[in-house]
Order: sequence, then structure tokens, then C-alpha cells
Amino acid sequence: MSAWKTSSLVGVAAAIVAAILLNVLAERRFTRWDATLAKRWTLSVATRDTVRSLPEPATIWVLLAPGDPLGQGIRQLLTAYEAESQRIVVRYIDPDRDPLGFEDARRRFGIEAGRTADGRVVMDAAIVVTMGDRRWFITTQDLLEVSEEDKGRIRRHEEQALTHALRSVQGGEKVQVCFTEGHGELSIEDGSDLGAGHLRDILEKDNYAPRRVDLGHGADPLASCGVVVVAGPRSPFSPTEDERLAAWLTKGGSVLYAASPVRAPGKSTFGSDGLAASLAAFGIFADDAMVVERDPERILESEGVGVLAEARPHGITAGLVGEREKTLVPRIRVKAARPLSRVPGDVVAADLVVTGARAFAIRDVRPRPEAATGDRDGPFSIALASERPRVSPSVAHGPRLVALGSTGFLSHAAWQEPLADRGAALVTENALSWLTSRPRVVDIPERAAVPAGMRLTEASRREVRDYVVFYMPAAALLLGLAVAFRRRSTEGRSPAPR
Amino acid sequence: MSGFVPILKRELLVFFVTPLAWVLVTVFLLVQGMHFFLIVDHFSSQPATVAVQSPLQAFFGNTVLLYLVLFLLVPPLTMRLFAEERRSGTIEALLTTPVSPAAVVLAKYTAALVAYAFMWAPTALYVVILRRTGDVDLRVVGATYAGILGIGAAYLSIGLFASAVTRSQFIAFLLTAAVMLALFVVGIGEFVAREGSTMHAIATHVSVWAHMNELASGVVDSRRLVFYGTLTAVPLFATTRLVDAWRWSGT
Repeated sequence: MSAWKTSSLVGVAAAIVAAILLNVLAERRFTRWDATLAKRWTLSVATRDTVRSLPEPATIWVLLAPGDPLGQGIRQLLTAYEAESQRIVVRYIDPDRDPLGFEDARRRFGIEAGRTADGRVVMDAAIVVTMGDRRWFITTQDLLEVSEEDKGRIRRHEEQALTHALRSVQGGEKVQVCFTEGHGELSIEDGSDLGAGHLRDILEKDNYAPRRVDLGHGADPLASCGVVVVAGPRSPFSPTEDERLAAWLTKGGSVLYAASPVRAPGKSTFGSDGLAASLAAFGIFADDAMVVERDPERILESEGVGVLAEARPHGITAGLVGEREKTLVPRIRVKAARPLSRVPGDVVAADLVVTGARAFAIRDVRPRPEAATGDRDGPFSIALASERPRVSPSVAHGPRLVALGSTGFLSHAAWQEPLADRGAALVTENALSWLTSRPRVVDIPERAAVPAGMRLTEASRREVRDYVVFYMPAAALLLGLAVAFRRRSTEGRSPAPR
Repeated sequence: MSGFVPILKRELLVFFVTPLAWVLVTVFLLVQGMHFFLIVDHFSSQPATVAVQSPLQAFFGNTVLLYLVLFLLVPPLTMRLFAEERRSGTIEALLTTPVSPAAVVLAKYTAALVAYAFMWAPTALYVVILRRTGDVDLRVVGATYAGILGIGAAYLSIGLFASAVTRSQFIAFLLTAAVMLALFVVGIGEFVAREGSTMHAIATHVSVWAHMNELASGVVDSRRLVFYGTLTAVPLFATTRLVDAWRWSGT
């Protein structure tokens, strides 16, 4: 081999080594530029401050597959978070390809998962942010919002959700949801179909802190509660307990009240639950009666005590109002409901769920199933929402109360219904969100909404197909043929004299 | 660099008067057209489920079809550049002209790059179609096409080198395809290797899929610029040294 060839080979080898070293260096120290007009991948000042001031490492567990379109966006954004601080540790777990890792995470964080018809894993938390033993769950709904009202545009909240989670795990107090006890209420420790154990799990996943509270004990048992849940009392509250609850409400508290009709001991009539004062402050009265449905299309159970109810427009019932034929609107199935009514006063409650017009309410179970003298005719409200004026200008909203006329809204069975019949569970979840009404993270600017999907008519779709699949390749082919013919016709000819 | 422009013109002329070029353009547009239409069809029928990404991102970033297109374009575009000249002996005449090896290599390479860009150019019409049906971020479009050009530039450089190391067009084709396949296989490691491992980092570093996903999302990363820059420069440098060697020691 000549010296010249040797030097060439050495030169090429050196170039390869230099290229590898350059790539290693580039991998260790790199820069990313955000080319989007909306600066989607550029973190806001508030986020950068939050990330840079983390007191200890925060681990972000992403439970989305790499091929998941949502996961890809999160991955890009988290790279920007990682670049801001070494205290951000991101762990990606692919539920489809890493079943062991996913199972470990599922058990560690108590995540519920299932498989779709096409085999994909779906779960109730997409991201978990942890710091020490504190954790914060982020669902896909927290990350983006598709609004049909906004012409089907999509609004991304990825940065808000992640930064809010990072702030929350730094010791931010979770909203305490206090379940009253001592009156035969559904227990949050009861995981059976008739218990509220499942609701407790959902609340924990939604970053609330559920706990039990006894209104009859202690000086101020509701002091740390954000929301009080009265989940189906079977014996009446004492006047003192009712007054305590009413007093707490006037100071700015919010209550989710759910109560089915309960027969008075030794009688055929229904008894009171003793919370008239608390409810009356919100313009609501819970009748000591039970709704019976007569419309065959709305009867779910024998003798009409299970009813198919309708949602009325309200923030809580968003997604439950509309024509079922056009979109999937879950039905609201309720068992043993008591009628709720509005009482005159300074606050007017809004209807959330109503029964059909042919329903009637019985006060005595003996002369059944026909309406008797004194029974009321429908339609009846079986869910109402009410809000009092704010107690101070600094709070996000005034005291709120949602009254549900059946404990069926809260029981595990409501969440076990197929999606098409899960309306009652959705009412409960939305009601809790409305009652706590967490304000959005305001110091992180909202991203511009972008169109969700494409709006194409069938004619436009065909037009696109014709252009891209037929006309464009055909044009290239014709051009090629023209060149070939031209070439053939000029072949062998001497060039024209100049 | 004297002689660069005449060689470039000759290469472009040779390329565009051969039936191969137009067959390639036709097949390329057919494949891309069907791919684009499938995405449009998918997005228009399921707006809510696919809304988290744009059609443009799905077209350029979320598919292995890009590899198919690169396999379709790059080896046929480069296999002839030096192998055919060496087989027919015309390279001898070229090397006796007062043109530097760098000019010869760069002229042939630029011709292949122009032909590659020419094939992609009609796909700009897809962007026009998307703009009619929704919002399209033109800066992201720019980043995406820059990425397509960068990836093509690197692979064409490999193809040019493969064409220089053999007299057979077919072997040059196979060599280019083999290197591309190797990069593809390593890139797949992104999905196979454990997240956080060295293998995963290497796989992500060379994965066209990951790079196009970033670019189609509007993220320009210096690591990708370095990777494709070096992947373009090293084969070009090696080819130049090889051509220089022919001048002094014969082909």
C-alpha cells in the first residue's frame, strides 16, 4: 500500500472518529429550538421558576406508550422540563411493551387499568408526579380539552397540569373531602357495590384527600374540610349537627348531599334526615317521599322505583345533555329516588336531573303502586345545585350545595355501568369538581386552541383522493412520457447550425 | 471548484432524460399520495381521537413509511453516479480534466440532492390541501421539510460513497440499502431497548422516526443537526479521497 493511500485511509478513519466524538459531545450538551408559531414547547417563566426552585428531586412517571400521540407531546415538553433542572427525573413506562414495569407502577400508585377492544391499555391516570411520599395524578382530561362549543378546537393544558402537579407535591395541601358518619351513611371503607369505597379511590386519584368526620364530636369537626359529603343517611341528624353544618356552610363550605328515601322505623311512611336547615339555606327541600315512574320507557325496575332520568343544562351536566342519536350521551339510571324541590328564598337552586312527567311521588308505601290521594305528580327534580353569594371577595366562589335524590349516584354500582349508562357516576364526579372548583394555574399562559382533526365533506374527501392518488402521479407519468418522446424524436439528429 | 457547474448540469440532464427518474417520481408520488389520503381519511373520520396531533405530524413523523420512501429514492438515485462511469470507463476522461476531486464529488452529490428535492417538491401541495381544511403552522412545515432535506442529504452521501466503492450499480444499490437498513434496525431499538439505557440513547440518536417526530412537532434539536451533518460530511470526505486516489493510481 502506498504512503498516499495510507494517509488517505488514516484521514478517513480520523474523520470517522472525529464525527463519533462530535456526536457524543452533541448528545451531552445540546440545544433545542421551538419552531412553532405558538411557542408550544417553550416553558413559561412561571414554570421555569417552579422547576428551578424544586427543594428535592421530583419523579414524573409517564404511563403512555411512545407511539401515543399524546405521549409524544408530553415527551417533548418533559425534555424541556429536564433541561431546566437536574431535580426533574422522568420515567417512561410503556403499558403495552413493559407489562412488568407497568404492573409495578399500577400497584405502587393504585392505578386502575383496563384494555380497549383493540387491545390498548387504558388507565385512570396518564402521569404520576411524585416527590418523597407525596404524589399527584394527572389524567388525559387534565392535559387537553376538546370543546365542541369552540368549533371542535382543542386546547392543551399540558404545561399547566405538569407545573401544577410539581407545585402540589411540594407540600401543597390537598382539598379534604369529609364524609359524615354516624347516621348509617355509605362508608368510604366499604368496597362493595353498596359502599363508597370506590368513590374514595376516585377522589384520591383526583388528588383529593377523603376522610370520615363525625359532626357530633369535637369543637369544630369541619374546620379543615373543603367539601362535606353526606352519603345516604339512614337515621336523622340531630338539630345540633344540622346547625353545625349550616353554620359551616355560611362560612364558605360546600356540601354534596345524597339521600334516598328511608322508611321511618316501624312506619310505612318515609322519614326525615334532619338536614332541613342546611338545605333550606340553599333553597332546597328534600321531600320525604319516593319517586315512582309510570312511563314504560323510563321504568328500569319492577314497580317503577328505578327510573331513567334526564339531565338539564348546567356546568355539572355538561356532556349529559343532548340527543343520544347524534352523540353518545350517557343515560342517567337512578334507583329509589326522592323528589327534591325548590323553596322560596334569596337563593334559587338549578335543576340538574329530572324525572319524566308521568312519574309520581308516594309518601306511604302501602297503597302501591298506584298514586294515592296526597301523592304528587311529576316531573320531579332528583338533583339540584345551588350557590350562595361569596362570603369574601378573595374566594373563587360562594358556598355551594349539590343535592342528589338518591345514594345510587355515589355507590360503586354507578361506576360499574357500561359507559352508555354511566350518567349517574358522571353527575357525581362533575358535582365534586364543581363544589371544589379548583382555579386554573393562572400564571402559566393558555396556549392557543387548535382545530381538532379535520372538517371534510364527502365531496372534499373524494376531491383530495383524486388529486393526491391519481392526478399528481399521472401528471408525473405524462411528463416522463413527454420527455421520452422528445428524446426519441431528437435522437440521431445533428445539432442545428448556429 | 472549476468544473462544478458543468458536471452538475450534465448529471441533472442525464438523470431527468432517463425513464428511471420519471418512474421514480411517479411511484414516489403514488406512495406518498396514498399515505397522505389515508391520514386525511383517518383524521376526517375520527376528529376527537386523533386531535392531539396534527395531520402534518402524522404524515411526516408518526410513520415508518418514511423509511420506505427513503429506500425507494436514495439507492436508485445514487447507484449510478460513480459505478456507471467506472464501468463504462468515462470516469477516466473526467479525471483527466482540470477539475478537482472535490468538485466532481460535490457536483454529482448536488445533482442527486436536487433530484431528491425535486421529487419531494410536489408534496408541498399536500400542505396547501391541509391549509384549506384547518390551521397549518408554516414554521413547522419549514422545519419538517428542512429535516426531510437533511435526512436525504445524509443518506445520499452514503449512497454516493457506495457508488464509488464498486463498479456495479446493483452492488452500489445493495450497499446503500444495507447501510440504510442497518440504521433502521438500530433506530427500532428506541422501542425495544430499556428507557434510559445506553442502547436506547444510541437508538434514539440514529432513529429517523424519532427525529421526524420532533421536527414535525416543531422541535429543532442541535443533536440532529450534528448527526446528519456528520453523516453527510464523512462519506463525502471519504468519496473525495477515493476519487483523488483514482486520479493517481487508476480506478
